[in-house]
Amino acid sequence: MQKQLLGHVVSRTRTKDLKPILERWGWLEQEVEQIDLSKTKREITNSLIEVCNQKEGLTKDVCGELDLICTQEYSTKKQWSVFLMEKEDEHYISDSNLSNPLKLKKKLKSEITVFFERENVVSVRMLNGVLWMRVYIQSGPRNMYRSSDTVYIIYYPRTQYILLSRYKKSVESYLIQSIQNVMGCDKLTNSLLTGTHYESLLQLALDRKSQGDFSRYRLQQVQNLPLLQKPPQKRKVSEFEREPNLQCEDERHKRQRTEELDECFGPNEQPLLQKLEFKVAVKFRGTSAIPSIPVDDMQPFRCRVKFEGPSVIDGIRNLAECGLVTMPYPKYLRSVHTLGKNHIKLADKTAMQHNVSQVNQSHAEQNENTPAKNTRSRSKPRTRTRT
Amino acid sequence: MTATVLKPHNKLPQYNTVTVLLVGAEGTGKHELAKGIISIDEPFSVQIRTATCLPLSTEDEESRPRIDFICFIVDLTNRESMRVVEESVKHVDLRYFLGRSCFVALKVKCPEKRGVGLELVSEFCDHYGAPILYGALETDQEQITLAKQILNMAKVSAGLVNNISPLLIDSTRRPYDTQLL
Repeated sequence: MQKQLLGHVVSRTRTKDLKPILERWGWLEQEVEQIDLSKTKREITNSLIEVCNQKEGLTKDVCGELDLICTQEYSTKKQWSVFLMEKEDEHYISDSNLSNPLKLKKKLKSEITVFFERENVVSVRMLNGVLWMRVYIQSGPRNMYRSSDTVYIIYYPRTQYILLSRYKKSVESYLIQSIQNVMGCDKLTNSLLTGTHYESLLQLALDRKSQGDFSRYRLQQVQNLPLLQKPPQKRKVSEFEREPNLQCEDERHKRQRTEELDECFGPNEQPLLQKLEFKVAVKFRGTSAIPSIPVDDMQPFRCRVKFEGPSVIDGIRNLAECGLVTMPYPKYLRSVHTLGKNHIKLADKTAMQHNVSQVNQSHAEQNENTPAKNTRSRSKPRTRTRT
Repeated sequence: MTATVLKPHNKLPQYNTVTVLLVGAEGTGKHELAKGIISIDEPFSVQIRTATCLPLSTEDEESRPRIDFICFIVDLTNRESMRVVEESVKHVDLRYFLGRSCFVALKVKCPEKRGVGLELVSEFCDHYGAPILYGALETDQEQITLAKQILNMAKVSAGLVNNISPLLIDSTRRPYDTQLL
């Protein structure tokens, strides 16, 4: 299994990054020089395994460390989702044991062993004040490595948020339970925020607390969150070209639009988000464009709107800057950087009530606590007849 | 109503100058075209104004020179640009359509990406009695060709060509739809 894992690591890394990664691993000392990095990946893997076999004690733990370093290096290759840890009595988790990698590893290992009787490997490392964890839970036959069995966890000490890479559905409940026990929280909820850039994800998650005036203050300030070491990047401003013979009649309008956008998104570059998804269930409003669709104000028009790209929030800003959308933006797009989620449901108030009534009709006998909802749904047709 | 309509003869012309107004939705490449027109070496000076839609704002009415020629730019892959042109045309005096305006259809090369039908555009142009120029702005050559065509017409409408008036050009033109002949 160790051999398979080493091969997996080599295949994931770029050849020129392999040497620094092995040096950071620290398990091989002088032997790193013996590996010829100019050869093909298969030959590199073979020589790495050979070098490792010369030394005693290549355990799964040691290999796990290497895999974790590799993940730290290529963190954008993973899909991270943000989970919110909730505790009833305290606002945030402040256990000093949680910021010590060794203590955390011991705790996590014992919890994982309780829930998963099969073989498991736990590694914890700290990088720039961020705790990285790797949990390997064997699911296939013995001594067979499967990369899908590995879960990576990122935890910024003393925050409420924890980032998980993709995991198997079958281990979900136990995994979440064991993380809850380790972190000492009562509830771990998926906050529907996913992406590949973990720093941006955390920034987005933390910004959820700063809405309204706070958000305006934060956006206009050049100072950034103390958790993030990098200073904020000023976005490049596309300067309007001026020529003596060429004049733009709506320059004032353009300038006004840029000011409006600056107020809404701030002068800095936005956090990187790869995807923004809206589930829309509102009344159909494009009848003027497509008259063939009948207007039925009872039935919501269900659709899914996806924005995808390397940086979606910047993209939304640029759309307006190119004049491809009508300003001002609706509130849900304007406040995307403080919503703290990228899977959003949009519904009319009336449509929502109608949904509830539909659900209630089908599950009336199963639901015990729906009388309040039922009364609301019953009132809906009445208001409609009045209008 | 009268203030919002653009008229060709309500101002005095400038000496030895051609003023062209380019009207088109954002992202249609007005600036590239404008730069192409300016780059052509001619014995008179060329002024370009660009606007995303008409009517023009009344605030800088005073500083604006007389507009000799109007180009309406349609990007065939962009339905919005056609709509903008249809809306803008309403704010133009009819004398502009006697040889003092033209429509420019861009991105004609890739028919599969078209959002606006060519028939629709040519029908629209027949309706207003103005010529269409088909072209693209992808390469410098295409840009210059288009710019030269526009400038030739603009030159006539500014009165810089002896013995030729825009009305003469317009009366020698035929509609695109052959049934109208």
